[in-house]
Amino acid sequence: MIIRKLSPTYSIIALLGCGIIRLSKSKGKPMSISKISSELFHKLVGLAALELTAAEGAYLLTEMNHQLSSVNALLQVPLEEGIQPTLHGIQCLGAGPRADVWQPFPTPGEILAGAPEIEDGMFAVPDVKGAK
Amino acid sequence: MSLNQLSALEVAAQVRAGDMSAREALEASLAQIHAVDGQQGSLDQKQLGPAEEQKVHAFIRLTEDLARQQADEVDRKISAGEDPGMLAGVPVSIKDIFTLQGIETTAASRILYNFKPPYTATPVQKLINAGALILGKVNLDEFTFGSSSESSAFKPAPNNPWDPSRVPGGSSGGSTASVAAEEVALSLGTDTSGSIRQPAAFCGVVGLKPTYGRVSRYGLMAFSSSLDCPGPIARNVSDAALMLQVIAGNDPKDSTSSLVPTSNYLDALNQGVKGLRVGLSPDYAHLFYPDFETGELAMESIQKEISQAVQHAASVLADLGAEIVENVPLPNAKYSIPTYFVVSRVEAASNLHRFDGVKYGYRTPVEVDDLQDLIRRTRAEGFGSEVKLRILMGMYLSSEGYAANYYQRALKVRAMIRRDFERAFDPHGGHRLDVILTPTTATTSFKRNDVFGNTVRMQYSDQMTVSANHAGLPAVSVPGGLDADNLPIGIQFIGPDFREDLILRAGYAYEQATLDEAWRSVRPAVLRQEVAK
Repeated sequence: MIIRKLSPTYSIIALLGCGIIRLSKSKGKPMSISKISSELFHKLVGLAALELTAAEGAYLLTEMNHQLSSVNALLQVPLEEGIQPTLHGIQCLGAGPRADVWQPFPTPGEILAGAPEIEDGMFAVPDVKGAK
Repeated sequence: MSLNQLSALEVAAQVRAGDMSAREALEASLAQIHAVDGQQGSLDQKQLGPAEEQKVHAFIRLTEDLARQQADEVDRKISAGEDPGMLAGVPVSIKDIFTLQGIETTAASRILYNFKPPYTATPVQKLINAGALILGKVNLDEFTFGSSSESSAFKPAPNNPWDPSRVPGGSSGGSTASVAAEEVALSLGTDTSGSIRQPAAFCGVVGLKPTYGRVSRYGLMAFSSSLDCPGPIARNVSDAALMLQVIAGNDPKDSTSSLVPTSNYLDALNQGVKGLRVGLSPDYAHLFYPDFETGELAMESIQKEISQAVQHAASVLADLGAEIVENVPLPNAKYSIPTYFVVSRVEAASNLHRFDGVKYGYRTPVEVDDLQDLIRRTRAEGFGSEVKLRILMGMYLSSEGYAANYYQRALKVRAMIRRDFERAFDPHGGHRLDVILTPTTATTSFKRNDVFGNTVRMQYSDQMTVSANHAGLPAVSVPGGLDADNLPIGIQFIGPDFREDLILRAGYAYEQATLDEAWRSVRPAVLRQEVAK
């Protein structure tokens, strides 16, 4: 196994990508009662960094389409005029994010002790494909 | 009456007065766990014999040594004349989704089977600081994804103490089962779409979802960050108020935890319901279930005994001086599950990217080609089917080309669900409600494996509870009777923002007025079996 060292602050989210992703050429296309195709499903599986057995894949695709039947009810909802999307039901009344100031964790050894593999005080992983 | 039947308030009062030691409370609780709980949940599933099938199986891990240290510290404080805290000597279980420093915290998932967090969740720390005894971590649906606790990777999944062939509900099923079976007096749960209230209803206990931000989420593994709420589970309303008093409040470690001051929830209980305006809505009288071909929602009736229990509760409250307001419109409640399918899956998919076999938890033992192969195999082996389903659905619904029609639209419908409640609670509006009374669930507990696998039907068991999550409102489920099969019925009170005092008042008034009703003398089946031995 090729070992590549990553600092404890490394996040794999950067590799997987997060937020909005492009799946198809259907951008802007009006939505009707849709089903998730097998082709699109397998694309999602790859993007989600998953692997499925054939039986598991068949079950999950069926369930996704059943859930989509419920979700499609939203397309029938008469939206109130001027309604704005809300990310929280209640307005966040907290103090807001803390100042972005680095603070050392008191016991980094506890963090590293939980890692599957470490080397020289860093998380160890196989190399990234194609990386030099 | 055994020590395990005492309420948390009674235990704390006796311990604080020196009439009972914390050690005595602890040993009684451990004895009950050893008598009724049976095999703890583990990844190494064994075939269960007939006797084990009748056990509760609430726990994944007991923390006896930790609890003994805590009990000794409480007893030392009593001897030294120091204040041991509001929960002195009270046995508590913790849903295994909250971190506890140095103790395995699994989220009931293989991918975290060996994770020992380096810090403790704020609500757990507050319980410890108040003198509670942490007896152990209890089972749940994997990452809280479910409504029956059957999706846990740690088997056996918990059973319902009222009928062990049935589910305790979920995802806080281990929590509610451990409280109902008198293994502990209190449990810390979480509620994203009803995961405290639905299993509380199924297990005949009290479960409270606080206002979003009322209790810190620091140390709670995130499922749906805009919906998740930690909250108390107890056998009566007073104990739920006591526990909320301990865990509520602002936390600098959670930027969404509220700065709104907490109330005195215990003092509020005795204020009664005279003059309180209690709403009933026809939109909570039915279940709306989708046609898989057309997507249209068809109406289904809820269990008749549950409707009757709600009507009975309304008449009890009316007799106590509450004003019952009927026909309160909450028309968008029927879209709460479709909205939840979108919001929760998108947030879950984002939160679950962090589990990759690099920093903690499970890593595939097989030889891999590169880092991405490692991540794929780890997640494939570490996550259960329900988790994979939520990730895939969340990625689909938030992807370009689909997000505008699904995610953005769901956020608007969520705002409309919220607006319905704002109108109902508006002090200058047509209804001017203080609380809304509804069923907690459409049915009582179902048989194991009857629903599991049908992810849509399972999700719709949260139809009556999830709107409060969308709106961020506090809601409590209290026991409201038994059906013909002696299965518990839950009734729910929903209140305005940060008015946990109001829903607790209503619940307490109903509870106290019905203490003499015959159904309250019926005990859960696993406890009746214990007496018979």
